[in-house]
Amino acid sequence: MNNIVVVFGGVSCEHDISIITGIQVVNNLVGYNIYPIYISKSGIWYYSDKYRTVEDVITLKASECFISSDGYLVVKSVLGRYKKLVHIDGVFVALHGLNGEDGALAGLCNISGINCFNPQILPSALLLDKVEFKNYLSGLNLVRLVKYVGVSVDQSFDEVRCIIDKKKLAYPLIVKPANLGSSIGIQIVKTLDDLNDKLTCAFKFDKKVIIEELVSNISEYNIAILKDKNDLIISSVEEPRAGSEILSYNDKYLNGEKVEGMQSLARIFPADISDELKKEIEDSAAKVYKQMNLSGVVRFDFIYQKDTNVLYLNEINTIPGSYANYLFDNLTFEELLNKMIKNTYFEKNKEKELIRYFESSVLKNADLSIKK
Amino acid sequence: MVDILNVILLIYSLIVIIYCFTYLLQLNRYEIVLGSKSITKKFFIDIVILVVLEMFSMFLCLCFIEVGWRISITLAVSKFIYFIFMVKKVHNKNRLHMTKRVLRIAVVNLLLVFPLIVMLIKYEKILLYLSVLTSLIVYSISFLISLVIEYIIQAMYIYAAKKKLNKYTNIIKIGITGSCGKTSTKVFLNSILNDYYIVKATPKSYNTTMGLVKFILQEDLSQVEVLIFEMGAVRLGDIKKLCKLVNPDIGLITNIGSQHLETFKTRSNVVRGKLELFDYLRDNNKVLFTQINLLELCCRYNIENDIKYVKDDRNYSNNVYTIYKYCKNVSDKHLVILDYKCDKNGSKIQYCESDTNTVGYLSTMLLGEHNIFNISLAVACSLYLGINNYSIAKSVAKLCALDNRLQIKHNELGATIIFDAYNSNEISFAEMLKVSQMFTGFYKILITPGVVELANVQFDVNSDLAKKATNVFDEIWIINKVNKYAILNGIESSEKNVVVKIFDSLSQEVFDRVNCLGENNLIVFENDLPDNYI
Repeated sequence: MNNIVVVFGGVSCEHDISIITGIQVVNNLVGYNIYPIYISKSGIWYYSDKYRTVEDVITLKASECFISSDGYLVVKSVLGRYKKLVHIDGVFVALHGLNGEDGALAGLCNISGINCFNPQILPSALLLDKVEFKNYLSGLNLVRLVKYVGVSVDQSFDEVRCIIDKKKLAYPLIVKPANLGSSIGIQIVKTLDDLNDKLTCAFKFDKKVIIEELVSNISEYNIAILKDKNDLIISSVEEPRAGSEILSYNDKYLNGEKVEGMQSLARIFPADISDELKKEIEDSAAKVYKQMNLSGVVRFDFIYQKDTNVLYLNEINTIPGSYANYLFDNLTFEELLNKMIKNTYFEKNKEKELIRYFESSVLKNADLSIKK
Repeated sequence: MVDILNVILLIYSLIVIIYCFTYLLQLNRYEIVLGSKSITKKFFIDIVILVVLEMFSMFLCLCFIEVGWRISITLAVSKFIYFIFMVKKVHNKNRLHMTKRVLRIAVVNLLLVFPLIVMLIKYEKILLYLSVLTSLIVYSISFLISLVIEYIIQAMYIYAAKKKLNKYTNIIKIGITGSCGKTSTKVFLNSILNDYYIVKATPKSYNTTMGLVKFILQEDLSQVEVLIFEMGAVRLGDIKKLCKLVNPDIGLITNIGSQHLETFKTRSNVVRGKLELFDYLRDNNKVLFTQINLLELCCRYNIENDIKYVKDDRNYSNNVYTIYKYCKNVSDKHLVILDYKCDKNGSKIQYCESDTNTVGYLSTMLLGEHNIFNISLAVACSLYLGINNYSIAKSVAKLCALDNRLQIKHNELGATIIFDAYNSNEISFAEMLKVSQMFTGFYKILITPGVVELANVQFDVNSDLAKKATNVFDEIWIINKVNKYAILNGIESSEKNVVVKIFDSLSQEVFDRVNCLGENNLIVFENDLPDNYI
């Protein structure tokens, strides 16, 4: 258990943030052989053992590479031939957004027999899509959700209006592309007249869109949870301060000169909230974490309506920026990564006890029927 | 023309001889020690004939250099035909397993033989070397040389394994030994600890030094927190060697019976052999769990010891049996079993943990009283490692029978079949009888070859077990002739009438008959003979 790959970059809108997360992970993994892989915006995989800062990723010359189906890191040599470099023991996915946070890489790991320390395919795919995860949680009554509808680009504007009316959504509304994060493409619709234009704009980013009621006068609270064998480690709650009505991409990442991602946003940490509210946030997040059988570090973003004292779950991130390490005040980044590794081994070991294969006579019968 | 024919004959005979010899050697587990399981004992007469043929041909070659080529070829051909005949007798179950060791033996043999050929070609006595090369002597020498090579290679592997294991200082190592129940206890302990620790255990029934070495070298131990080693002993010093390799922190002894009596020679040695684990743990201030009262055992066999028992004044109502914890040489009650019930659907256990005085309940699907002891031992160890009662109870409820250890299946017509063919000894045979008795209202059939490896008590033990079996079973099918007379003797001495059927081996015929039986039949397969009993 020595060779660990960290994948960052990716073909998504969050390519740049992913590089930051990835480099942080690379620099905080101690005691392992680290193989950083950078996926460029055009989808080419690059490997260089010298990736240590963000500048390195842009400037260093790297070799093309890929992961083979038998779990090897295969690298293209200077002469153009591909050669197996090492057998990979585990992968840390530091990709955000589509084709990374949606379980695509977890799937690749499953097929290649490599351990993946981030959540599995189903929860990743489900939680990345803003519509689907709310559809899933709606029936469970574990947390409160803001009223919403999900619409697709295939539906006509009239159909959309019908759906909104049936669900009795009240204006103003907020429109978000379903699969994008980091507040990209978010529009506020104040009246019905705006809706068509704003929807068209949103559909430039995604085929599916979520339309929610805009909750006013809110505070946002984030919390992260990490699984540790049979227990959950629950982080402190932070209030990521917003500059305008809602956090825009600019607010999240371009506030201030330093490019440090989520970690450097002007925020209140730990959040100044009552113990009761803190407990409600912790319990809601834990309930959802357990219900979905999640693993690794997951960040839950809540919205708190100050007038009515109602807490809503807004979003769940299966690969949070910087792995939300800044939220855990009792754990260093290194300890966090080690716990993720240990926990994956623990789960894998337990899985051996499950019966995955039955000896059945189905094939024997099949032979007979063919003969006849 | 004759030369080419001779060369072909030569190469063929070489291959056949090396194959046959190595095959027999492999069956005998590469040992030259004689025991009742030994192949050499079985083929004694055959080997004598071969040696005589060998001696005669050597004599002829030495005295009459110009020996007639017909006689020479006849001798050579007769020798390796006899060899093939010998090997065919065992060959129906197995082939030679082509391992690296076999290749090494073959290479050493060839290296020894070719100089001989070259030397003899010079004298143009092609007929002569046909005879010489089939020599037992050449092969024996090459085998002894390979023995030395094997020993060195094994020592290298053991060193590598020890080095690897010493690298990981945080792993808790548990060693399990005993006459029977080791694998079961290991599997149970693994299941219980799996919910709290990253546990790995030696697979299947690997319990020899080289088996453990293979396991240590092959497994990825970097994230492991607990390792469970099954330790088997065949003679004195085995467990000591394993302890030196593994350095266990916790030990478990399931029970001490009379298995492997012919290699241990006396019952007292069997006890001493298993106690080597206790000795190691005591000398290193580690902990041992067992239900055996070691002080009593040592007294019974006159083994010197300095074991002390802590006086325990606590009053346990219904104290059925106890699992003791030995720390250094002081024993203390650790887990007290207050009550248990067994029936054909499983068992229920009520226990009390001595340290905290808490009472716990366990329920399991496993059959047989011996499984209760095995489970209790695993539970005692788990409690010591900090697992809570609730989690233990949950894990115990999920335990399934191991392959062929009182494993229940059904055939297509609904007959109940208990597979208990893995291994047998008097203890587990008696246990099987008790369990079978629980199936009231069934027509019971016992299919068994009896119990083996009991040296000079084999006849009496089998006879006695057979007599006891007549009180439980309606039919007894005897497999193989090794214990036939002993079992028939036991049946005759009993007052009950049972139907007896005799089979040469556990052939397809037996299984076909079993598959025709319907509901209300209980069929028990007890013990399966190792491959060298044919």
